[in-house]
Amino acid sequence: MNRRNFLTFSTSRPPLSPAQLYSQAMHPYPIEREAWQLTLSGLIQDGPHILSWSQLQGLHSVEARYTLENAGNPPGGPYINSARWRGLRLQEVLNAFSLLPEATHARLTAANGYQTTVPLATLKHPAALLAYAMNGQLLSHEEGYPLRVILPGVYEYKMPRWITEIEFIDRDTPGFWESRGWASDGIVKTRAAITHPVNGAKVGQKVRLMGYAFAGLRQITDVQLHIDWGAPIPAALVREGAYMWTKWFLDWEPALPGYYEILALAYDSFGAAPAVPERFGLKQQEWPAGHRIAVEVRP
Amino acid sequence: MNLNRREFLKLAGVTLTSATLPISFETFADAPQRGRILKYVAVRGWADFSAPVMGHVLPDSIQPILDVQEGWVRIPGGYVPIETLQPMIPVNAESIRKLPAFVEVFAPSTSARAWCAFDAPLTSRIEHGTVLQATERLSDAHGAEWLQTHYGWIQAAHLQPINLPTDETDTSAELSGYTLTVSKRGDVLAHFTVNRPPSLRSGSYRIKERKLENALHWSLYAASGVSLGGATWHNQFGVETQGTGIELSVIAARALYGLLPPGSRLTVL
Repeated sequence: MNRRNFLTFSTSRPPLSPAQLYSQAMHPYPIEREAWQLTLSGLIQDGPHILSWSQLQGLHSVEARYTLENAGNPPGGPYINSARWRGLRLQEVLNAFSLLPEATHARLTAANGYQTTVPLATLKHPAALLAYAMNGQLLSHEEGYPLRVILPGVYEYKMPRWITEIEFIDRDTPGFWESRGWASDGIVKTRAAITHPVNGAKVGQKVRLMGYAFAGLRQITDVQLHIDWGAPIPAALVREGAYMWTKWFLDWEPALPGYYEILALAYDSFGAAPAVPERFGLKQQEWPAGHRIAVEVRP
Repeated sequence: MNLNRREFLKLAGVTLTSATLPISFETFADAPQRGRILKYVAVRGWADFSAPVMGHVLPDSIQPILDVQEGWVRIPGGYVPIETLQPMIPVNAESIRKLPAFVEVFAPSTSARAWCAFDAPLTSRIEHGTVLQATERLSDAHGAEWLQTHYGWIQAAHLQPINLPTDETDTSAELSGYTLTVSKRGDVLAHFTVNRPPSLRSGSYRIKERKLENALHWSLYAASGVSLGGATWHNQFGVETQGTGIELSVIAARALYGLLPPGSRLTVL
């Protein structure tokens, strides 16, 4: 995946939201790295503390692969992708300071005023990053230059770009999207998607069905395919990492030409995911765990 | 090498006892013996669950039936448990001409849709052997033909016209346990393995009417709510059924339809 693709996939906008919400939340905010500062405030000993870019340079950086999904990604939608992110472990940054015992949450604020709140435990997860590079290159302004937050297991709206302040507080407070009805925990829902063939494709009588399933920090245990509501067929799983989607494939040989509907359902380590009728215009948490396509099999 | 016809019919719960093939089974004379896989199942190296797994077969795939032995069916690549494979009805090469008409699903399964388009919502899943009445025909934007049925629109490529079996005369049947025996003037023609409902009472019944299309396909109806017909959704016969009718395999019910015309006597022991 190149950087241009990731830009396409990584907007934090639900597809059906009004344009002004998008503009307000995601307007790229040009920042000079030398002038940028990260403020740690709120329930922190001797705070607030202001960190400059040069101060953060002294910390050890790590690189890992993450799958990021937009909360408005419809079943099988394009607003999900994976990349290598390099940055500083938030855990290490926070360990340099003493938080007051009442601190339970952190309100993350971006340079454009975007806010979201996450539990302290999420911020202290060993895989939580203050990322400055993606796929080997420094972030662009659109991607959150100079630093953005990367958190495993939650939707992208819980990971602000252009981060400028982390305020430690004793409660959960609604942020930009949360106050507009999105879940406050932002935990990724279990979902499978079919990436090949695409809906409406004409295929031969031997076809490899492929796709991915993602459940955030929960492990995908099974992906099952149903052809025309038929008996479940388990797909082969290819795990790509703890914070990554799981790829799946199934070699299907339909017995006869004709039209078929294929439904992929994902199951995670917490059991079966619900399969409810697919409807667009619903929020992510109301969407099904499955993705449905129809194909034409030709002789 | 495939099974012979008699072995294939036995897999469908039919044991022929006469030297010549009854009229009802004539459509099986030259048909290839094939089975529809009912669920995702491991193919074993030999006929035992301890045998190594050689591969898997997918539901609704069509497999040639090579052999049958003690609860297992040999298909290319190995053995699968007998309950995971449903013997398939013969393919009729004729096309569906006049409507309305009774048709049957010869595909491993098919689906009904809300309208005649590949991406129209599914309204029902239709199993192999299901009998339907088609009332209207339309072509979609790609030129594929669809037939309208009670369940919705079904692609014509998965359906075939029904050839009704010729009726036998002077036949009667006796149900003992899970075996239905059909005789003609005292000569046993065939035994059928059936599922029987717990509500079925002993007695003598006369077949009053028959229907092609119903919950149990190729159904025969007698007095006191006694009915017999083909079950399309499984291949486990010789047990007590949860339903209210006597269940046979579709192949068996198809044949029985001609073997027990209205007026024939059914004795339940």
